[in-house]
Amino acid sequence: MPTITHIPEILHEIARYLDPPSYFACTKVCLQWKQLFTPYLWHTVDPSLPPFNRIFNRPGKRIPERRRRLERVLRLLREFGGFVRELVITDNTVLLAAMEVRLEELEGVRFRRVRLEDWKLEEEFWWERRCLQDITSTPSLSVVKTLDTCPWKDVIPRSVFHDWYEGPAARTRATWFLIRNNPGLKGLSFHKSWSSLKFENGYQPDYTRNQGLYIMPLPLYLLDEAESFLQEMFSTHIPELKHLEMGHGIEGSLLNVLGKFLPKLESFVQSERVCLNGFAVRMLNEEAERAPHRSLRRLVVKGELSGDLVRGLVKAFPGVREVEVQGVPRFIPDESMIPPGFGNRLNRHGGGNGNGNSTTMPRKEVLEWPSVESFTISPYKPDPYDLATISKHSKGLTGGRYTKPHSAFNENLGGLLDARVRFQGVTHFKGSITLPSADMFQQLFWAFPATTRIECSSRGRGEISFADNLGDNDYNIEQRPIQELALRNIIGIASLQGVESLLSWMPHLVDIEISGYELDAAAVLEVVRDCRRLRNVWFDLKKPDDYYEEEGGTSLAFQVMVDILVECPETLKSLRGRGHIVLAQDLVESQEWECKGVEELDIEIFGVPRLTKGQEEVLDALSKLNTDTIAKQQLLQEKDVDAAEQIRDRLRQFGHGHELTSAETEALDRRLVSYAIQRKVYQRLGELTQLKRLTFGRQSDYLTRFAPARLDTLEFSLASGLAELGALRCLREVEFFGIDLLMEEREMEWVEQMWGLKEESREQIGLRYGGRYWYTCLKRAEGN
Amino acid sequence: MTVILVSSDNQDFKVDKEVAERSILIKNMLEDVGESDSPIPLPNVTSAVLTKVIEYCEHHRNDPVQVPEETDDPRKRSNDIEEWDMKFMQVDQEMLFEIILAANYLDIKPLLDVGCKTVANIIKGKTPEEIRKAFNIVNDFTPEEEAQIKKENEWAEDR
Repeated sequence: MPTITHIPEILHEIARYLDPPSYFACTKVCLQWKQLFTPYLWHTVDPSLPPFNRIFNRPGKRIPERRRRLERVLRLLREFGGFVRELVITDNTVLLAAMEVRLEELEGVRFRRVRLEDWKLEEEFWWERRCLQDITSTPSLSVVKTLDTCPWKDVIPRSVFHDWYEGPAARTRATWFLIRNNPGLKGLSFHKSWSSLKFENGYQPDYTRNQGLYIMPLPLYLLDEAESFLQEMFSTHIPELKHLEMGHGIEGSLLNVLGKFLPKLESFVQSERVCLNGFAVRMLNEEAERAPHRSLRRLVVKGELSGDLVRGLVKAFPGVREVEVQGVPRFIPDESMIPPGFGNRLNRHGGGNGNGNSTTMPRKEVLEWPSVESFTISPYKPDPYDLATISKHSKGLTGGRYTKPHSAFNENLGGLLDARVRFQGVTHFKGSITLPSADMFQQLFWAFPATTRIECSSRGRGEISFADNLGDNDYNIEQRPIQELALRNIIGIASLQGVESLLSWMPHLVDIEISGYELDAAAVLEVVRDCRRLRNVWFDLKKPDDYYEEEGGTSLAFQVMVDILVECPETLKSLRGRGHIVLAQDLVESQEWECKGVEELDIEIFGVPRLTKGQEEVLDALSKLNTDTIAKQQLLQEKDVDAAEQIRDRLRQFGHGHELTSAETEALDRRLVSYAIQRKVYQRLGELTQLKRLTFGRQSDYLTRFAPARLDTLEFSLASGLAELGALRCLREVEFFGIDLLMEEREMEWVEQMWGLKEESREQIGLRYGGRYWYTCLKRAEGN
Repeated sequence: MTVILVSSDNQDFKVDKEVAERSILIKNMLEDVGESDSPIPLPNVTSAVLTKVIEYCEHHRNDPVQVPEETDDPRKRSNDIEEWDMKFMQVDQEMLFEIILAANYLDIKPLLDVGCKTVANIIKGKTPEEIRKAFNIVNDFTPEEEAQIKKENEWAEDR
């Protein structure tokens, strides 16, 4: 019978789920597999990743002998180059080999940020090719044969490289030579290098640091020669290009000329910051009026987000579906500053003063950008080599004014809102921005009327609060379709003051996540009452003032948490967060919960009358006492109050064995009360049969981490009624934080038998204060 | 409405039409034949395998119909198998292969995918020799080819 391991149809299906190292192994299994998997192996060649980091390099040597490596790469590419669709250039050897071999099917080239060998003047490069000719048996270096001189010498006019060293210039020429030889290219990507901008005299390239290490597509200054070179390259040699990623600073102007150079482009990523000041944006607007780029679907830009920029983008790229702006702290150069790469356009566009006033843009007219389905302001990561973004006091800033990094987020959002652009197609707004004020939220709703999901994370120090209520404005309920709201305050001081008012404004909420800010319990109760489709909820509650009180009074906040649990709708799947404190008595007496299907629950149950450590010792001693009365043993094991009383009566009556001291009686009494209430709590929790994850006790943070373990809570011992939780068969993970757990071997056996869970970790508390452990985690073993 | 499927060893299986139609082959057959009570013979599928396949289709009866995705990334991840599916696929290798063949024949794309992901997970991280062993594949390279591979390995494998 033919097994599936020899049916090509099935093998191709399997191949879709394998990774390159597996392809490599598969080619060595048998003849049929070799034929079948070889094209998969060579589809994408990335010499920096397995298996090509091994296939191309000699093992055991950090730097392989250059010539032998070149010979090998060349031989392999000759043999398998026909399968290569995607090639990553990581060093000179691969670049050189790729230039030599005809890669018929090549569709994409990526120039990766990898340290290149440190040499390469043009002549040396040339010399290496000659060496190659010597060592290869077939003198088939076609290019060398037909050309007398170094063939890429004139690929780029020399004048483009006005102040470049020869080394990087040679590599850049070779790069474009490779590109020119592969007219079928659909993707071209120059990965981001670190910043090539420095802030002396405004924007300027800084190649002195980088130029030995990366492949630079072109100098930053896009002079006339460079621009015509690019135009010729793009429109004559690789007209089918669909994806272009530029990781270097020349692209401020490229954004403007995409329509002219690459009208078929579908995706443009500009991952290095470029100057987008008033002048640049005006250019964008002007070019856009002339020739909007209709085929572009994806656009990623890094730069200052301003209203005019957004308006320019709307006009320039009317068909874009996905927009990502990597907002940066604002650097505002003089409007009159001509950004690099625009020099040649001054004459064409009427003078070089760049005065923003010369073109007046209609600011108030509302623009619509319906093609956009996804709009992102992505997180800002400071660039360690871009001094201006990390130092507040950069000296020598003559180009403009520089603002503090943390306020950049709101500037970016402000820029977006300032644009008066409406995104009717965007259903999900995600922004790494300082959590905006109520007023900004209102504008956000206006700009993204179809958004059902808002996600903001903030790392900055927020100064804005939600103190002012959201007005009704011109929206009615139907126009606020927000179903998912995630506001995360990652680092820094909470900036969500008064966010409760925002919640009450969103009646359709299904998923809520608000972290880094403690909400008012009463407001949360309102939300769970109003939003009847709640599914996943994460919130932290303000702790009541009497939080540390041992036996807890009936604090209002405690009571409200019980009400929240009672009122949560039956759709609820997850209720998580910190500070979800309830008192055992309140829980036991609470009404029926609707949310019986909840799968994840974080809860802190306090106020259980537990024995003091002294009392535990008394009972311990009593149990060890050498008495032979069966009644006493029974008494120690009895959990039912009435039954215990009967036994005790019998003991008193007949007086045999040991007479109970008052301390013992007191401890026994207290334990009975404790067990009685614990059992009732377990019974309530045991109703939540769908629970998959239970977090019990206060989650550790810096404040509570070393606080003493709480004694007034469930002990999770079998004696206290743990068996009532036997119905929680779906549990996969249970965590106990900072509570005095009495789980011993017997309990662990029970847990494994009933829940199928095992103890994953148990960390001992640093400060011992009666408590035994502060963190215990039970988990389902892998594969169960 | 139910449909009767007949396995290669002549066992009848009565299943809901909705369940049977998870198989595109059967769906098309039913559409061609129209309303009819006649049993559908599946000569390539044994009763043991058909039992498993029906179990899968029963569990996934309410899943939305898969739309063929745009294939911009030909490589897919193999670690996103649902829990139930993972358990379902915990069978001996012979059965696993039979299920894949049946899924291919019956044209049940999601089942085929899960089966192939499972096989891919078996392959991942293994050396060629281990793969041969796992699937009982005969090494049919000639000694010269073998020597060539060995030479390549000297270069390409870690020591």
